[in-house]
Amino acid sequence: MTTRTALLPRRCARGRTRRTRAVIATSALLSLATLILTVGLGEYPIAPGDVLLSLLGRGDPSSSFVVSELRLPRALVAFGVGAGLAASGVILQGLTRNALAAPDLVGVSAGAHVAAVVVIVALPDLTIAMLPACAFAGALLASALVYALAWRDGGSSPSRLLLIGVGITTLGYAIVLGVISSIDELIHASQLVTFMAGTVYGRGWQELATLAPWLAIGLPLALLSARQLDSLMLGDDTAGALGVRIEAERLRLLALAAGLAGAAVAVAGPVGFVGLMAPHAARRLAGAGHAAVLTTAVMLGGCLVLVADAAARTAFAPVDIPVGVVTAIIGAPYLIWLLTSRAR
Amino acid sequence: MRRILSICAALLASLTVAACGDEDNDTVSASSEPQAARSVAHAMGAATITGTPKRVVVLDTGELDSAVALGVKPVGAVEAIAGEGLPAYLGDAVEDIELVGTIEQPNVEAIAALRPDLILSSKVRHEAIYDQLARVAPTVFSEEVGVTWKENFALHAEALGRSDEATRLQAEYDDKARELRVALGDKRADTTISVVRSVGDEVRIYLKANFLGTILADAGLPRPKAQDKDEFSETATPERIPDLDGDLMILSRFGDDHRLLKRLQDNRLWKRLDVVKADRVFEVPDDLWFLGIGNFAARKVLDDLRAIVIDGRRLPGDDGNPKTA
Amino acid sequence: MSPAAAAALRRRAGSRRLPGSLLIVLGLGALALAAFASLVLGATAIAPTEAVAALVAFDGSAEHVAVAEVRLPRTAVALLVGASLGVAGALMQAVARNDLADPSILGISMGAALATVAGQIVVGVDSAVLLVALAMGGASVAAAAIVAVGLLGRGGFAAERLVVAGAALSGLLLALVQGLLVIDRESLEAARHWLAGTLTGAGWDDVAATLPYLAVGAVIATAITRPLTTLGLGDDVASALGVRPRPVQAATAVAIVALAGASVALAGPIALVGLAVPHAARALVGRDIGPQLVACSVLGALLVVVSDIAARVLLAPEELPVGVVTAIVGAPVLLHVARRRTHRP
Repeated sequence: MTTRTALLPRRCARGRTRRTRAVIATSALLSLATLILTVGLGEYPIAPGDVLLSLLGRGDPSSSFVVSELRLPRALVAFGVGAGLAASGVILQGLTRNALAAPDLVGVSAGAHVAAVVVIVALPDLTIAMLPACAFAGALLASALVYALAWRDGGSSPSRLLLIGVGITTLGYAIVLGVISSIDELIHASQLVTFMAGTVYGRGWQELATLAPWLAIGLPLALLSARQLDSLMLGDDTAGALGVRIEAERLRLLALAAGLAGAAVAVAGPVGFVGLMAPHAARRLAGAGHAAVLTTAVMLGGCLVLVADAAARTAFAPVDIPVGVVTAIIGAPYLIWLLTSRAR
Repeated sequence: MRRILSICAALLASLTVAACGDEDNDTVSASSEPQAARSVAHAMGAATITGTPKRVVVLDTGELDSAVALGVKPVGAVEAIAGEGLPAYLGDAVEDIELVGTIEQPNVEAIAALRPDLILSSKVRHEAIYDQLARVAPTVFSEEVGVTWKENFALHAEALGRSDEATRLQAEYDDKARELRVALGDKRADTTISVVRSVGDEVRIYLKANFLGTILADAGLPRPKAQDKDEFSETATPERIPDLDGDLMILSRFGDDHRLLKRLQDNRLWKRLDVVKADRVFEVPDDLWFLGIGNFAARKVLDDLRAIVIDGRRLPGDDGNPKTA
Repeated sequence: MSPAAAAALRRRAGSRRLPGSLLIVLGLGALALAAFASLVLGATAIAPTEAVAALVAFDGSAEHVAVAEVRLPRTAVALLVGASLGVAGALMQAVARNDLADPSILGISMGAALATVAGQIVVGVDSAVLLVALAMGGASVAAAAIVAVGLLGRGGFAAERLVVAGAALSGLLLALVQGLLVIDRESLEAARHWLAGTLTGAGWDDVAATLPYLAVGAVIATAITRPLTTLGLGDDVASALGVRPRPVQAATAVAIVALAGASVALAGPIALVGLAVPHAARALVGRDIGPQLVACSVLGALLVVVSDIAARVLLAPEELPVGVVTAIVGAPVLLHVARRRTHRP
């Protein structure tokens, strides 16, 4: 079971800074390249050059329309969802000192999902802009439950946290299936089953506008919390000695993680394993300082969902597979590999 | 480089086809139909339509039915199940229509490539992609589908600029319904119709608030007490088999796998149903009776209904024995 | 340890609890009551006297047919599914020495489910016998994956590792099921009931198709009781006593796959029965494997029958999937057990 040891810094300061900058820069370039390449993919392939032209407003009308009205907003939503889940994962992992604490494994995504489904079914006329707020509430509730159950005797056992997370996720899944099974509008039932897998089909500028504010506030907040996360990593006693007010910090960070994951789940459903893979990859590449890890993870998470969605919508064209299916196909073996290859 | 060239060629080709398409349709005159820009109010706002739309894309079966009824051949439509094609009851009228995805997931890129001048669908199905569709072409959404098919038909006609034709066709439907009611006469009270449909591993009891329910009501055909509710449908479990009884049963199958239906039919409770004992279970083509949800289908259903209820005739494809597969 | 000492230990442990015979009587009594309630309750309540009459003096009336042809097979399937999952859970927890093991948590149920869904959608399989065989295959593959996780890497079969691996595996398998359902639209509409596990439409032919596997599972479980108890003393001690760990574990795995796979073939992936039941059983009869398995079969059957009654009655005349009810019952048990654990180094 990976614990703190995997999360401590491994390199000396100077080399780390140079390398970190390189990693961040590369991630940014990678993000841009991935965006351009995946936007070009689809039933009507558009070459990267044309994509660029369309983005700059100088492409031909047909491809410009496809790019700017259909593929670009969907790609940006996918990227945003990946970014939010990755950031949430980084925070949760730092907060619990547990490298496996991803929003979907700890119950945060499940809470958001249940809330979103209940609201969609019970309040069908509610505007889509309100959905992230409701999902946030659900994620908070789930987080509070997990916190209350997992934190005992002044600390949390990493293993206990995950087990409780699995329990909450199972419960959430059962509730959602109960709802899906009993609603009368059959059209909505099948839409909800697709939502359960995590999907960005049909997500456009409106969904992006719903997601963006949460990321615009949450991501910088997360970055600002990097220092606290670094301190918490050193253990409760050390952090306390360094002047960090532990419980308050923890709650605040938990809320932040819930907000980021909640917004992502509200827009795309519970896309799995992103909040696990992106932080891990980021940590391996960018070291252990949370500022660097957050920045890198956000971009890697975005790229991951972008690529997954590109695969999902082209593999079985014209059928659009939910992106969550692809992230699970990549992520589950990755997680199992993590479990079997690392030392305890 | 080669890829770029081929893509440009494809785009050019589609543009050319679209341009040619427009030229051909210009020669069709639209007689007394309005030519100026008009605003059509619908469930998601108002659409501005210029002249008579000629390149229509329909994203559900009801919309397809309306278009065909009004003599408009859409340039694009969606399938209920990927690979299955468009409803068979429409026959040749739907030949050569471009398929642009499934009802569940229309492919907006494919729709855009057809350069439509009108898109028809409903809020309940495709609210999520309304914005994108509206940017492709003027889009008109009805609120619901199925039970509201008459209002939908009127809305589609307005969008297509064929309201007069729609009124005429709707009157035709009303006449048929009335004729059937009259032909039944006193026997009506004893002709309760039970509607059962097998969808995959689920068997549904159709109640009154759906397409078929409205037709039955218009024809004055009563429903069994258990089905006399103003809702869409309920699930039939083996325990509820008695609720399936009536003077006459309409049985339909969607898709291929009907394990639960077979199980129900093997059950003694089923065999004890009065309607089964009297051999009054009639199988009907699913696409016409349950997917059509439009005026064209409604008129044909009334014809079939007349054959079943008045003449006791079985429809083609109904051999009177419960199918085993 | 000498046999005499072992026996003495057992007696001492047993004397703190209610006498075994009393428990068995109570358990079977409760089960009989629940099974009878399952015949009486449902979308429409049938008078108890009628229910009895339906079994002994069948007169062909609608109510009698409902009891005999619908509720009786359904109750039988519920009993079988509950007992199988309960026993499978106990076996898993014993062999992995992990009190959080359960066929649904470790992905075995979902493996069986994926195999049947894939068989139906991709190949168009429609015979019950074939579908059950597919369920066995799927369960085996999933079990093999979990065993591999346990054997590779450090940490062995520790609870947390296994549960997380199981969550990952379940997540993957569920995602694949959802992918298939999206591709095949017509199955999507009907699957919404089945995904959580449902007993609607359960019949005698399902029982017939799964009976061989259930029998295999039951036989192995009975035969393996003594060796498994010995194994509980530790691999080395067991070897010293002449019980080779690997064959015992392998046989147990076969029993688990047979029982869990059959349950999924009968009712879909029902969650958490295999987790909650062994804990309750241990509270009543102690850690001895033999009594535990008996208790688990009774308690498991009880849990599923009662859950099915609830599933039928809560939203009458519609039905909830029974797995939703068992999950709502089982999740608090899972949370409670997880909460109690102290961090193992």
